[in-house]
Amino acid sequence: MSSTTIILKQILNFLWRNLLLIIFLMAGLFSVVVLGKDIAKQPEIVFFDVGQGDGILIQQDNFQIVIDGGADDTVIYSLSKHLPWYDKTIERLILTHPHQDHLEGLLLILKKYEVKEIWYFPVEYEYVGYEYLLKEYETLLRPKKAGDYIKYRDIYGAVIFPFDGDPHLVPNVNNASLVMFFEIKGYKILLMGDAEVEVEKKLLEYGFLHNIDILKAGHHCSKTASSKELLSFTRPSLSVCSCGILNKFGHPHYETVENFRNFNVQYLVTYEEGDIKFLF
Amino acid sequence: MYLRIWRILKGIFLKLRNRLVGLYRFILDYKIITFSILYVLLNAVCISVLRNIKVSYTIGLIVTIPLVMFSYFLKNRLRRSSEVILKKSEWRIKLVRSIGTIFELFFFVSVIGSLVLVRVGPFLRHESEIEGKVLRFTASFTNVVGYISDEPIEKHRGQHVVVKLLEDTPVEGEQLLRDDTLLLIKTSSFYKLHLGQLCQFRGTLEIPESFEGFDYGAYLRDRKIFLLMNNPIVECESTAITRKGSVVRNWLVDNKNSMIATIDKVLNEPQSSLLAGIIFGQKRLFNTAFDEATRVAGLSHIVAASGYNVTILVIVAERIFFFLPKKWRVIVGLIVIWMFAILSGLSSSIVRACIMGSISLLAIIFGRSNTVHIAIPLASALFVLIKPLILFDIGFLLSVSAVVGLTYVLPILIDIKQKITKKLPFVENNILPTLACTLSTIPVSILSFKTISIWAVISNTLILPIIDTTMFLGIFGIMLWNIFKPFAFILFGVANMQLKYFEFVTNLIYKLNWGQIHFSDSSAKVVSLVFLGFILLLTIYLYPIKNEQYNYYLKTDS
Repeated sequence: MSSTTIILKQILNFLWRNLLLIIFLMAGLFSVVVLGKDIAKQPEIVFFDVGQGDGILIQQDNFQIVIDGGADDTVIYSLSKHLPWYDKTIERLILTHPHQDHLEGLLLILKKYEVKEIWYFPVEYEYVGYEYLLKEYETLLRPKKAGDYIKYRDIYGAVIFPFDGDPHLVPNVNNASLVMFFEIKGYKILLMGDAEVEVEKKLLEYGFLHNIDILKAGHHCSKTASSKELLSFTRPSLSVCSCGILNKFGHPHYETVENFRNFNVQYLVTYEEGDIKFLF
Repeated sequence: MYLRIWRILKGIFLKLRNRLVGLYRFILDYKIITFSILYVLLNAVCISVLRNIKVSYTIGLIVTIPLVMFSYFLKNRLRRSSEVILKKSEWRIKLVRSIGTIFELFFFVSVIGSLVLVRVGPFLRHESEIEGKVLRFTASFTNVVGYISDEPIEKHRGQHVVVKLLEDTPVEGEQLLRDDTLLLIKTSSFYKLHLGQLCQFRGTLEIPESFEGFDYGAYLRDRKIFLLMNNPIVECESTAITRKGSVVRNWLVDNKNSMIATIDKVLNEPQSSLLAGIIFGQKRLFNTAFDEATRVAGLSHIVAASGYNVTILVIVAERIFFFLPKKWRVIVGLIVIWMFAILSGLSSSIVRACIMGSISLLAIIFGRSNTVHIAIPLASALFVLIKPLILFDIGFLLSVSAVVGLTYVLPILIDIKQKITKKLPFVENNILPTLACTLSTIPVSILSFKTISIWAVISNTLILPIIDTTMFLGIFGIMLWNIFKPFAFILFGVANMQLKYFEFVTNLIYKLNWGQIHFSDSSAKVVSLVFLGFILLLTIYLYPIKNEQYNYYLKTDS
């Protein structure tokens, strides 16, 4: 037998021995080449089921906006489910306000993902996590207020509250929430953060808030938010309540639910639905 | 019919008896094996007994020393008398001889027992002293300064950090000594903490309390932790300014963490945690559902920090360098596993596993089959001698049982497979070695994860063939990441596919939602012992031996 046949035989033998590896190699190449391409994806918004807390993802292509992170590490696993496998960069991380049920998970995102910018509204609030954020991630922080906006392809988003120097901002930190308005392919989305009735009243001046498509109801659908005035003004077709199962506050509150019914607003609760995803 | 069954049973029994007797003689013949095995066993017995009954170890010594003398006397006496009886009938000689060997064993037990007592006694006494002492430190708000002596462990709500005190600290008018105890700090997981980082913690010291039938205090005690602090105020210095602990270890661990960060840059959860677990044995968190799923599928041991991965590496190195002659293959294998140990930060579990792995490899080089039979128990005994509490460390148990599996269970599986078919070499190369490890680690898995899954064997057979290649793809991917990204990307892509398959199989089995049994803390111990006994007997019974008659000196001796 010539030496080439021996070598060929050896190679064949090696291939046969490592059949499984080769199959996976092919599958992996396929996944990288076909799925790894920058496919122009539809924009989408996902309301994560992060227990009692908020966590929202808005993305198109490789551009991600994450709003709040919930109270624990659930958001990390939720993000993994919805982000492309090779993308570990979050372009905008938005902290509505520094309560633990919005910030803790967000800090974990900062630990695990590469984040380009953090949007927040500077308020005085005592919580170790908030102090840590201000100290450790100083270079990424961008203070924002009503009027600042973001645009990426089909996604247009703007901060519509708080106004600078508003005297009502403290003592209730909830009312210093960044309220965001998004327009994606003509659909209007209003994300209230934990803003309560006092803030809602101020929003009633904005004409563009008529006929909202999706409302992320304020303060986990507690009775201190989603007032009749707001609902009658914005007329949302659908509302999302982000709350944990058996939470001690009794969210969503029955009065709020009653309001939704009266205005014929369909409402979805994260602990019932899991992650709620809308494709545009 | 009954007669036939009876005959078969009798045959099995006789074979098993012969083998057990042979094994017993073999062990007694090699005194070093006897010594090692007895040392390990007695160490375990001594620690658990002494801890529970709280007798002072001097009493133990007072009892054992006369026992040693007595048994030595008896042993010699019997030997002499057997020489006298030698001229008389044969059964008497046999009787006296077997009584002689029993006393010889007894003599060994007492000698080694007293050795164990001398080794274990002082630190057990120290332990109970500290247990009494720490109670006095728990009342008030305390300020302690220390450095992080182990890598922080992630939990779903917060992280656990083990801290060594920087100096003796006065607490409530008394001194909490630096070497008394390590501190466990439970704090929020968003802090970025590093090994060797110097921190100040302000909070209340507490004693660990048991929960849900789990003796948390005992668990921490084995790790030399007697006090903990819940959610203290944490202030840390930057590691760039001051850093304590071993410089080499800090550097190695940083290096490892930067490699894990590379994985995190590319892969999502749970794939990134799976890969970090498979490659580095890094203990990471899955979300609760997936964690439960791996447990149900009986796959938790693959990602547990155990050094199980080293065993896999040994197997893979053997396979990849198939073209080299056997000796070279072994040398390459040795280089690979020690390189790997350095890469993964020389964590104690990996180093232990590497030593055990090297032993089984070296046994191949020297070719004498007996070397490995001596090396495994001897190495285990040395580990236990150096650090007696290692016996309660699941990682140690896992790596020992994996090596035992490779040495004793694998030949059986290959033997059975050869009887069925001589074809399909990749079954022999890919599936059987890992299956052997899985089987031999079942008792330890039960002990540590408190569940047994009937899926364990099936799921492991499905998954293990990909684990080794995933490991290699991951390692090469990490290495190439800074050199040539696109290629590294492809390697990670393949690893990602394999890990998706891992996730798929795990979730598939989880969805079936039956076939696993949970145990309580105490019943897990019993079940694990029963399994251990069963596997041991089965191994002894089935271990391929060329000629039954001549083995273990059965023929020559009788």
